[in-house]
Amino acid sequence: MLILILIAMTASLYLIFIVVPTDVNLGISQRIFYIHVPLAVLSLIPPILVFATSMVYLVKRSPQWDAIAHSSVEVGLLFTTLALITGSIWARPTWGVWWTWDPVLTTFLILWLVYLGYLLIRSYSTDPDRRARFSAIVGILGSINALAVYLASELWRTIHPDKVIGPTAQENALDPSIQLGILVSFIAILLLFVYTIIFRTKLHTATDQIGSIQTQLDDLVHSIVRK
Amino acid sequence: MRNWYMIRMLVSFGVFIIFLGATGTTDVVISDNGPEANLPFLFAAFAIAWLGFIVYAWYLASQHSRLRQDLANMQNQLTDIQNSINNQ
Repeated sequence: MLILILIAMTASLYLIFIVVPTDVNLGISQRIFYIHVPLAVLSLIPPILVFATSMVYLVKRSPQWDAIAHSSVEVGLLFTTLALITGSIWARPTWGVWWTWDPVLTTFLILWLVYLGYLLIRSYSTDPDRRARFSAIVGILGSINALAVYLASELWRTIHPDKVIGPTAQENALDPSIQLGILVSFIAILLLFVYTIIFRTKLHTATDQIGSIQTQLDDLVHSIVRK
Repeated sequence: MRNWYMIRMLVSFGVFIIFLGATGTTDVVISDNGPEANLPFLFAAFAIAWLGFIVYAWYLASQHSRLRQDLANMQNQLTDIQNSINNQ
């Protein structure tokens, strides 16, 4: 999968810097769009994963579901942070400001804070069951904000550009070469996203299992020492 | 401990964003001298995005190496237990 990611990334960079035309109005900085849009769109996937896996965790109480939720939030926080930074860099030459309290940007910042809150709650709690239960509740409640981010441009007046991909996007909003550039870039970042979540979940599960075995081993050592 | 450090860094980033929001409404002259005028912005966006991915990959690699270290310690502990049982 890593080779596939590397090929997709190379193809995406080739399209972004060699093939796609330069925007007449925005100039070369418009190319930030090819990394910002996939990052921003994929930032909305973790809340769906967190909502589903946290619900399942609360019903089944299986640590595997908590591991997926935690990994999704961590990767979601990375993607949201990068989407905020790249968006801010794009906004400076386009809007003339680094940041503005636009509904799309504000709801997105709230999503970022929700991810951060989720991780803070996890870092405060030491009991694994309690930590997983609390973070599942925060995860479920926080996931609802992702819907607000998605619908912000429909519900409120916003200066953020209209959606160019997704079910509510305008038809033929983009030039075919730009569409290809955004598609390949999206696939490359999607592959990276999926790989990172899978790797992080495996790491999380392995950490939990090693922690549990270590506790059992310590108990065994203590019982041997007592004898 | 490392997680806590990263969370503190991210909180600082949030405060920085809010600061930008508070100060970002001042008049700004946008450079429009040709199509490549905003090249530093393009470079910064891609550099930061790639740096973000690299830092996270490094964090995962360090977690992985810590896990391997824990496994090695457990193996040593098991060997010690086995030796002590054999000596008895």
